Amino acid sequence: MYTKHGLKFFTISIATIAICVSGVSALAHTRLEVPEIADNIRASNNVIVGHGCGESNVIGTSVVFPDGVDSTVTVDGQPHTGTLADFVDNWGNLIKKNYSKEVFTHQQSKTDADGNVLGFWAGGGDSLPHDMNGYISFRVGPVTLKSDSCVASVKFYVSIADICEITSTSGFNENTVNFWTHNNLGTPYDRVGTTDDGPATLTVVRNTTTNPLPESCGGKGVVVEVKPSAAQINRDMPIKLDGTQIWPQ
Amino acid sequence: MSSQFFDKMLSVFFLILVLTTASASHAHDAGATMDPNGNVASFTGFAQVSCTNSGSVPTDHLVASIKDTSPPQDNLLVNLQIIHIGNNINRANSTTDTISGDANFSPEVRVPGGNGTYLLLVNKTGAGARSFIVSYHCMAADGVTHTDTDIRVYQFE
Repeated sequence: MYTKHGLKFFTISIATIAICVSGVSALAHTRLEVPEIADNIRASNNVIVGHGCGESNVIGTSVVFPDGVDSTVTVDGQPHTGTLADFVDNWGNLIKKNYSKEVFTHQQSKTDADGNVLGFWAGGGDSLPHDMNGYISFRVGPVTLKSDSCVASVKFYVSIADICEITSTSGFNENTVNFWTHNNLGTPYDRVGTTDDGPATLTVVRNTTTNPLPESCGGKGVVVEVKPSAAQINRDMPIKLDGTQIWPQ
Repeated sequence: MSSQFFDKMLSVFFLILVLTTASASHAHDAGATMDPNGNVASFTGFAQVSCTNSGSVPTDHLVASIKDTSPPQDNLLVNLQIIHIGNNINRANSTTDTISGDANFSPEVRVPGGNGTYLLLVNKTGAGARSFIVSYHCMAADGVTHTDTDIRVYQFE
């Protein structure tokens, strides 16, 4: 009898451990459903919120794209002294949230002083169960890579906060918010980690059939990457509604 | 509990938002008020319109017009200019809404610059607040097909 119960307990324990381990390994970073798109194409996409904060559900998400104004730009991994406008003709107002109440009931664009959309937030409602995916729908307008430049692709690092509890910045921890952000900007929204693998990415790849590289590029394009400034993250990551900040507080 | 708090906060703010905001616009109409304090004669709105293919159909030109929705005021009219530079097409055009406050837009103007970016300016002839609507559309050569149109505002002051 003891042997039978012992075996059953052992079996349950193994099963439990297996579920827990597989559950941990399945915890995905929040990423874009379509991380790579061609230039000059309008494309629908989703932010996929992969999990909650431990056992806590996600009650909102905040998504910020680099504005290209004071962003850090690198070319083939090296700092670029110019601006994103050297490689992209029209960055600055190409992100548009698709209205949806499938996951959260409230949503709004994040804009700069001139009304250009730099990101969006969604929140409220029943909350996203911590063990389920949440698809937050948006659309990217046609990104026009500069035809007379040698740019082959532009990777935008997208900073995301999945919020499980509204707190002040001093209350940020693994139980209240998941940061998919850079780890080295020096903002309260930085992801804690030794490697800078937090942000989601959106890479715009040059379609060399419709937008061929100039001959002067020698057949080889350059890889451009764009990261937000600390000032932009501090300004745009908080959730504001009609100018009033809701998170953090 | 957190979610309920979030909802409550949002509900309060959205109520305020709904009570204080009223707007109606089409996909490529943009409205605002220039010089809200009425003391900046040089007030200028400056934006970039980006035109790309609609499917495989390329843009031929950008067409735009402006409507002054404020009551008429002597010697105070709103203007719009389109400017295209590059691809060996350096062209510009302008239009004025000569009757303020009526239901009509200014005459449409167009600049044939193909796919790419166009500069769009709005200004007025003197100091004074002017509410206005700009209609802007990237169009194919057939003059009917609406190609992909995006806008970024650089200045509104």
